[in-house]
Amino acid sequence: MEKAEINRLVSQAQNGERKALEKLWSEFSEKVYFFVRRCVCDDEAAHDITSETFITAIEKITDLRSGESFVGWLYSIAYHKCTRYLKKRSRLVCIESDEELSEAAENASLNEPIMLPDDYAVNEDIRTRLMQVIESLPSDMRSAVILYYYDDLTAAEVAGAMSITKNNVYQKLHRARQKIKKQIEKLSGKGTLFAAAPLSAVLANLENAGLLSGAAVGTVAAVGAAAVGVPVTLSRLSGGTAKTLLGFTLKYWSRHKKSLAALLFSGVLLCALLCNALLTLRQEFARNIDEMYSQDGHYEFITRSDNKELIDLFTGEDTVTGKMNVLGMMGIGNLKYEYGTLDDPEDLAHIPLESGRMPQKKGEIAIDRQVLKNYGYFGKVGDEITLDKGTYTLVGIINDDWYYEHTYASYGRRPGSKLVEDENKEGNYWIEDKSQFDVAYHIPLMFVSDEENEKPVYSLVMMDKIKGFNQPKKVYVYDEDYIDDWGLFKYLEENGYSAEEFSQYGDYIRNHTQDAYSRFNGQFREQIYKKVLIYGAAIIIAILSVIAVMRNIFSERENTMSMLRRIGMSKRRARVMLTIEYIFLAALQTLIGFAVGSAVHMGIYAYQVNVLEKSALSGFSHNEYDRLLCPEPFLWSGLIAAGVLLLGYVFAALMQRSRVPKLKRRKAGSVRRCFAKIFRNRAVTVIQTVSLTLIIFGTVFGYMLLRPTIGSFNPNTGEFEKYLDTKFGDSHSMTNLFDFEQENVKEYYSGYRKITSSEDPNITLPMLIDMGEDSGIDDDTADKLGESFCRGVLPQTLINSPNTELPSPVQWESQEVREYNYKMSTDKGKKFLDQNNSLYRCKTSLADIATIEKLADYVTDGEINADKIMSGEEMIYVYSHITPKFKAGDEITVVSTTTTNGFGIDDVHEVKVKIGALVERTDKMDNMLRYSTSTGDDYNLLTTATGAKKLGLHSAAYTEIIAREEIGDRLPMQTGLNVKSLEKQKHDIFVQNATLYGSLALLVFVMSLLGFAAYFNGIGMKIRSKEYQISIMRAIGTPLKKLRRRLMFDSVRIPVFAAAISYGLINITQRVMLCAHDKFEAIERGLAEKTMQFYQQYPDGITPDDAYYAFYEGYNATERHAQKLQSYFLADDQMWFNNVLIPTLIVFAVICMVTIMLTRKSVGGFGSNIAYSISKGRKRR
Amino acid sequence: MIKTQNLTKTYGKGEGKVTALGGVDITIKDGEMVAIIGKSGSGKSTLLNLLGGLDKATEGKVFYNDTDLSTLNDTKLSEFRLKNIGFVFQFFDLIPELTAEENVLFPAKLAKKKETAESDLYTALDITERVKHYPSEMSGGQQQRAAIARALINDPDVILCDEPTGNLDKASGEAVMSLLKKLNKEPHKTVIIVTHDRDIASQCTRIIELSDGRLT
Repeated sequence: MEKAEINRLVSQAQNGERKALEKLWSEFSEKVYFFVRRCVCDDEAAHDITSETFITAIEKITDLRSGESFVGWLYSIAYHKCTRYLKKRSRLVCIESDEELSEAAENASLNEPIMLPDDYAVNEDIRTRLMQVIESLPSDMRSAVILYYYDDLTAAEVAGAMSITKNNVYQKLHRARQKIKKQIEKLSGKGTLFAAAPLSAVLANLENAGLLSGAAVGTVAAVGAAAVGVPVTLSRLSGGTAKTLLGFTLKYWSRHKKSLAALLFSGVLLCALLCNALLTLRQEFARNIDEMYSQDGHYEFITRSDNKELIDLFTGEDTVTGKMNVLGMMGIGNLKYEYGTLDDPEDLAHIPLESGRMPQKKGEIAIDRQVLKNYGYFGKVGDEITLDKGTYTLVGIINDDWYYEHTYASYGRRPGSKLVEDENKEGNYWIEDKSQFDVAYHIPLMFVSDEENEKPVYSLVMMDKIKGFNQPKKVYVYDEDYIDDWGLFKYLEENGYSAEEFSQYGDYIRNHTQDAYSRFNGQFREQIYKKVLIYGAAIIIAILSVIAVMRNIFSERENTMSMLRRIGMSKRRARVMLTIEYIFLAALQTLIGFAVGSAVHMGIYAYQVNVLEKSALSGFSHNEYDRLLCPEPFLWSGLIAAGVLLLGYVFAALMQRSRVPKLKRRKAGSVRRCFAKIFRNRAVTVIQTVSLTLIIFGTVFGYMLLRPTIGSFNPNTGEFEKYLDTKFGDSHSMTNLFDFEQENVKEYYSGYRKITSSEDPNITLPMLIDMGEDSGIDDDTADKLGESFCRGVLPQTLINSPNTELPSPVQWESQEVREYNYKMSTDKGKKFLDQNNSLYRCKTSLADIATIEKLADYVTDGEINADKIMSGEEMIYVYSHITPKFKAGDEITVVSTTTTNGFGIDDVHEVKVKIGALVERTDKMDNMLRYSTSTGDDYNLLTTATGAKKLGLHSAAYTEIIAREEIGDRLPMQTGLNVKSLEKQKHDIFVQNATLYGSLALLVFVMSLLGFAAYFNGIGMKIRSKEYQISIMRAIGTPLKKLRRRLMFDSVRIPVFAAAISYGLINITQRVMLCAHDKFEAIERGLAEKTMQFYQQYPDGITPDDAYYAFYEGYNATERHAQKLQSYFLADDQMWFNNVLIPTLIVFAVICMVTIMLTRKSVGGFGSNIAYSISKGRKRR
Repeated sequence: MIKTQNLTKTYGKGEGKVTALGGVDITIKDGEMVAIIGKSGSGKSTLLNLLGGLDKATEGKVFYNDTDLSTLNDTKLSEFRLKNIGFVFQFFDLIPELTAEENVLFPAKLAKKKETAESDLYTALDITERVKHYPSEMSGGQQQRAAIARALINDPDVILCDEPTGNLDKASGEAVMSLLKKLNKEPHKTVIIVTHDRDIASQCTRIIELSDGRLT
């Protein structure tokens, strides 16, 4: 607007012309507002002061002598109003500290505007001159001005940056202002129209035009930035504009440290969780493949020849990493095992070693533990072993943990074994050499050092490519049914290979690959799915928490942002600022998240390796396949975390847009309803409820998942100590349970070592081959030992009961195995099997009578009669969800079978016994028996050693002996004796417990962290956001007590809902799973019966055996399904129906307590100064 | 009768200490209509807040007849406010989530009053048609009248007003003033008004002027 125009308008206004006033208002109101806003830093006040300024101006305009001075005059009114406002504010309530007061005072004088030519903002010439004015200032003054006005530092910060006192800063600033003022007046001469502008605005303006850049600002800013701890590089990199924004951002976050912490915390947690989850997944994957390798070796091709051409043809492009040569058979007597060599013994197939190493020098041997056991040998690395090939030094014992698990599963034809066609059945083949059935191991169980001049019987070619593993290659066999993909047959024919030979290889390759794949898949899925569930829940909560926190931050920032917009920051700039900020935060979160996630993972790994002692099975794999098959944890967790942050950002922005509250026309008739209406915050409530539900559900679910799989020993009940006390008369507390040093338990077989080991080189150990009938200690020895030492399991017990339906006959995995076992049996055994096709196979547990008597609490039917048990008249029947049910008093036939070599039935001993009492298997009950047996979960009959002896059960095999004292040489070495000291037992339990409680603690920790981020944050947020309303209610006369009670009730409602929902969800899951379990079982059972009926309808050409097999197969499938369901869907009544309520209640109680505490604390923040709270709340709105 | 004894309120400590109110002794008799005037920052709002128990005095006491406000705990003080004092604020300060009617009836419900004369109040205040509306849907004048209705619903003896007309146009302001005058005249309510407007002050029976936290 021209000067003349203003003059005209002013004089018109003085004459009372309304229109002129309006024009002046529209011309200057924004300018004045902008100026005032800079002075008072408060939107509302700025609006008020601007209005007041104009009201005063209009009232007093007649006093103005000339229109010339209107602009200056208007600004001086505004300025006076501002100072009055600041003074008043400092007098009243806004001053919280001395510092703020002095700051306000300082602002008042130092932020007094200076008068500049009105058009300085657009006039390039004036701006250049202004620039010169600033540059002409002495350097110390210039620095102070730029740091203070331009970089927005406080006087104290400037003082720090320039190493001078605060007063000095004021002085310099004051003088600089005087100088600038004078210079400007000199420059512009008379007749210039002046406008008032805060110096900071002037500088910002100059900077916008690109004038205030380079040396002047750069150096000073760098000094300042370094001094106040801002990374110099950052401020330099981001250039001029960004610097203001950076300063602003830093200021904002330094004032909202709590919000920043919450945002970082939730993001870090999310990223850490993701990173950890993916790392765990990768490790699990690698471990499963490792395990599979251990079991089978990773080979895809077997040949007896060394023909390179052929090997190349089979392996194609895959990398061959090594070769395992099977050299031949050796052993003692009729127990022979294949032996071989590895060309990369340490690593190739991840052979799990219990101790020692693989052989390297001539004359060394590594043997599987089970093979050693079969020879009756319990020695250790360093011993000498004489086999038919010569004497070897034992350098390594191969872990046999997997052996029990996979004996039957992997039982099958060994590679290279010759087939003989069955005389009776065309197309049915038998393995010629039965000894090849001895061990169900695809790779040799004995490894010797590379023997010279030994031609391999066959070689296993190892390939390191797991990729494509799940798609078995088409096989190359001479058979019309198979497709000859590579034209191999032709090649073979041309090169003189026999078709039969390749048919064998092809078959083997196909079966092996598919078997291994399905085994791997099954194992992997079973182990991983529970983890995925828990991690999934945790990650969902983390995502919710990030979004909740971001939403919170957005509403907090809204005011600041709108203020920025009003003082002229463009939308684009605001957006750029926020984007840079969030990218930076996301990067920070991701980095810290990586660190935390991998640290936790490494911690768990170290725990697994060092505490669980399963390094061979738990390590990070150094092989390529894990990287090929699993998502890269760091990349994906970073990406997902960034994605979620972005999502949270968009979500929060959208929520912000639609934040106009929807008011519902619902009548609030009572105080309670009024409260409800006032405190309604649906978005937060939903987030809180969902995350809490997930927390409770996840915690309880995780608890339930971990409990049955890891063990059920509960140290809190004190049962264990009591048990030990009564058992051994000593006081055993948990502490010395875990302290193995104190126990000083000697292995009872230590006496035996004296004559066996390398400790005494004069004595060589004869390999004991005692395959006699007794596979336990003899009864005389048992008598000498006394009751308390004699416990364990009788492995081959069968129950026969014509009156009760038994779910499963003798369990052998496949028809082939069953046939083989049948053939391996003696005539007596065969006859027995022919006569009985409904036998339930289980184990019989032996415990001492004192332990058995303690089970009285768990008896569900009948009663425990010690005398009858000891006399062999009765036995205890232990049942669980899937075992056949009997009644107390039922008479059953217990069949004890023996075998010489582990296959078939040699001798049968049948005895009738009454079921004295029925005991339901519960965790507690298991605890009672823990030190009596370590039978796992498949025993059903329970009696004492004496009782078993009286019953004449075969050899009353006391296969586990636990002793606290050295027994010396009283125990004869026997085949199949499983030595386990109390110490070892304790250690095992320690590991189990440590795993259980460690995982639980970790889970609860993670969950509570997440809860803290998402849920607890919401409580404070809800209350803070209603500060205004709360203050009004207080003013009207609502007591704090009532408010607190009300809010607590409100807060606690969410945990109540969440707990109820979780409990319901878990219950529904249980019921659905149980239903599914029963349904599946019924279907499978029906199928089995139908199949049998089908066979029975067509008796021609179908033997009773066929029908039996069909029936058996069906039942077997049923059993497998039941077990699968049990582990996949948790359909086990023991854990489901006993354990859900209590953990839910515990988690609920804890959350309630914290909720109440937090609510109390948040409400406690409302002090006695209600008036202040109202005005603060009003401002916030 | 309302009496203050050496009523003092300071903020901050040490050198930065600001005295908002420095030893004020006043006595207001029942049925008086008193204006407290003074410039911005003279301490008039502070005085009103202390009289209404919205803030605690640093020193000195406030007596309502024989009740010493400083001896009451939060629950008692709240109850006292609820039953004996009605507040009218410059910014109306209605609870935004509640309708006008709910706002008005809220104190009555808190006080567990069974019978209330809200419809009479609405008629007297001319807001009958607007009571089902939310504050955001009402004009400033209407909001202030609803706020007055809220202050009166429990039939308190004392009405404290902090710049009641400050945010209203002239007509609305006058209406509010005449209403307050009526209340003072008819049921003999004690009305205390904080204002910086001399016109409004002149309509009261007594004027207390504050300057820099002291009586003048």
